[in-house]
Amino acid sequence: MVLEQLVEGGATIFSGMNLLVFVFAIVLGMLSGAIPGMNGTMTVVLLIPLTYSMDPVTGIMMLSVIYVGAVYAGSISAIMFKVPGAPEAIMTTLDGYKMNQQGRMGEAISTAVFSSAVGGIVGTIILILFSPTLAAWSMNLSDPEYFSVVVVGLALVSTIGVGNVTKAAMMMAMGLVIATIGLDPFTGQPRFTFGNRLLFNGIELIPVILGVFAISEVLKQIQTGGQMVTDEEVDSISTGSLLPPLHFFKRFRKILSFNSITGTLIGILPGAGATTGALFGYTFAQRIVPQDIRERFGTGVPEGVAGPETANNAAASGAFVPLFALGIPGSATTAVILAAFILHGITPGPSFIDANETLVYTVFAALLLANVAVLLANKPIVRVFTKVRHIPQELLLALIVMFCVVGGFATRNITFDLWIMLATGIIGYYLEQYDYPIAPLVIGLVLGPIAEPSLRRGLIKAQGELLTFVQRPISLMLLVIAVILFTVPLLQETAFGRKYLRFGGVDQ
Amino acid sequence: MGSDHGDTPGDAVSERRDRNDAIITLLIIAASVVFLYYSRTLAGIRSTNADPGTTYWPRAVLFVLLIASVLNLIHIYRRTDVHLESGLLQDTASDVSAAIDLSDEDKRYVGTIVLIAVYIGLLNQIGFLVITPIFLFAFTWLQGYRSVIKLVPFSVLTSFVIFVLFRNFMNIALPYGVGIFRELGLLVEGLI
Repeated sequence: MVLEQLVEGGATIFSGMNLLVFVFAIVLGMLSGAIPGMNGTMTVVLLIPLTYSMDPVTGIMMLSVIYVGAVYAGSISAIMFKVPGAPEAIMTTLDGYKMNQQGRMGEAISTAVFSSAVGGIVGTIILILFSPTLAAWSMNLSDPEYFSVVVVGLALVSTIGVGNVTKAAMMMAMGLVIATIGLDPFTGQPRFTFGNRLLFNGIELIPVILGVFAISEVLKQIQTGGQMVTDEEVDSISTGSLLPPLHFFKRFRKILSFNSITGTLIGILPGAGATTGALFGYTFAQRIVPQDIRERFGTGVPEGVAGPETANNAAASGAFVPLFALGIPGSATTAVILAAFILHGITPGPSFIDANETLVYTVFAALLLANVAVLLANKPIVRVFTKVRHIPQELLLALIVMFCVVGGFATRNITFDLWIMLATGIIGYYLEQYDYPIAPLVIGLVLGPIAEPSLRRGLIKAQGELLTFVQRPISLMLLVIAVILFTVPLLQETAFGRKYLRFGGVDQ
Repeated sequence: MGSDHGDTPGDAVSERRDRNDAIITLLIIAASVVFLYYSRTLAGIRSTNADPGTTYWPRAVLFVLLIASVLNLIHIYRRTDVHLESGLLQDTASDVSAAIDLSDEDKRYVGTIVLIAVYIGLLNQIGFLVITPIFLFAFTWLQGYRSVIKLVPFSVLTSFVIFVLFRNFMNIALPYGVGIFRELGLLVEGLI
């Protein structure tokens, strides 16, 4: 039954103009993901007007495929220039860029593309088979569970910076503090704006990401006279074959299977999205690999690329589950796609799948095909992007700064964001010089806006009773996990920990 | 530092690193205290009776930041207790003289920051289409790339393509500038 509908959906894609639209959407999605500052959400928003003149099936399919393309391509500039093309690729910079600097850019891109495609395919299969069941499960979750998930995410940060847990905690807390700048989401009161109206909407994530990752890296390269992209591949994986690297299935089997499923589940949670999926994916991968690899996480191991890339693409598919099954978006981009539904007169809700089978199964088939296309195009994609080696470093640095300025400006069309970008770039450069890990700061900035509303809504519903967070079983279980995750790295610094609790990790 | 430290160049570098590390932590502590003090003005504002209020979450995370920073400071002190014992700001005179004696990389680093700041500062007045080629040329020149024949077309064409791509195909208007620069931007936009 499902298979028949999927085949019908596939046939719809291959009919008439739909195939052209599909190819256009995947190329555009990849471009928007690869260009720093642009992202899938922005491109989907910009293209909604274009769908007015289209059949709703074609329009919604186009927007969904753009999203998939953007999530996958964000990793490419993260690996090549330490510039996450989209927030989802933040964790990929940690090991991906280091691999590039070791002369393993091709391997890093290949790993990212492969694991993205596998994560996306598994996520889509889960979406197709279990949408109603998973959506019903997610309905049981409420604010205490959302808050507890965020606490687990924040606790995981402590292991990213193992070696200096206090600095990781400082950076995470700093990210959370920065996220509170702007209007209070409940009362509308300005917080920490110091009378500056430009701060009323808070500090935008994109300029900060561009600053702490890209601008600081440009400054570092200039200061140290280093090379951003190495001249040649030290251990080339290119065999002349255009077939995808299928041996990766064996090499990353644990990461691919575990992170595909957990990534999808994270994507289902409203508000979590692919960025949170990537954060969890990285730290999950760190735990399920053998010890010798685990200890080298952050120094340029392919597993550090496969982990977040599998999870963020799976989460991108997972975000469609509540959208299709309940009419509730699971991420910012699916919220925009929901708006497109309404513009086309389609009413989302519990009966949505039954009432719109052609549309739903065409989108399912498109998501599946888009990921398969990415998988098959693995080697050609690697060959195209590794050509960047032929660009002189001086021109490359200039282009990176220019793209950062364009990306930082395009977010809100104000130059204030560019000053934020430059300031965070300089601060990020010095923080990194003195071993303050940057990733926890960005994670705090991403998770802060999810944590506070969940905490306060949970407290309001429970009449201010904090016990609500430990009275609900899932929330309690998550909080216990968070406590364990946070305390183990601290205990590792004691004599007991050194003897019994060694499990690796390095400073970022 | 004291005579019992900095005997070898490695020790001196390590001392300077520890001192700068401590200064960064102290700056973060100072910022946390300022934010905590400022949060007093918002205390008591809440959406409902059960709402913990506007300052509840910010104060909680500020306390985490403060505690982690103090722990880090203790950690640095334990690692380098004798360095810090003799004061964080000692040897400032030698540091200042070292800062004035900039290497080529240092000069390029400072020049790059100034150049990016000027680029951002003039973007709204001069417009993307005119300031970007100048920036690209100056930036690459500053980094040591000296082929004018390649630089001029690279700077001009890249800026033009990005401006048109974003304006005409992605509906994102990059700054046009004012006066004659704005008219130039509108002219280019109208061409395609």
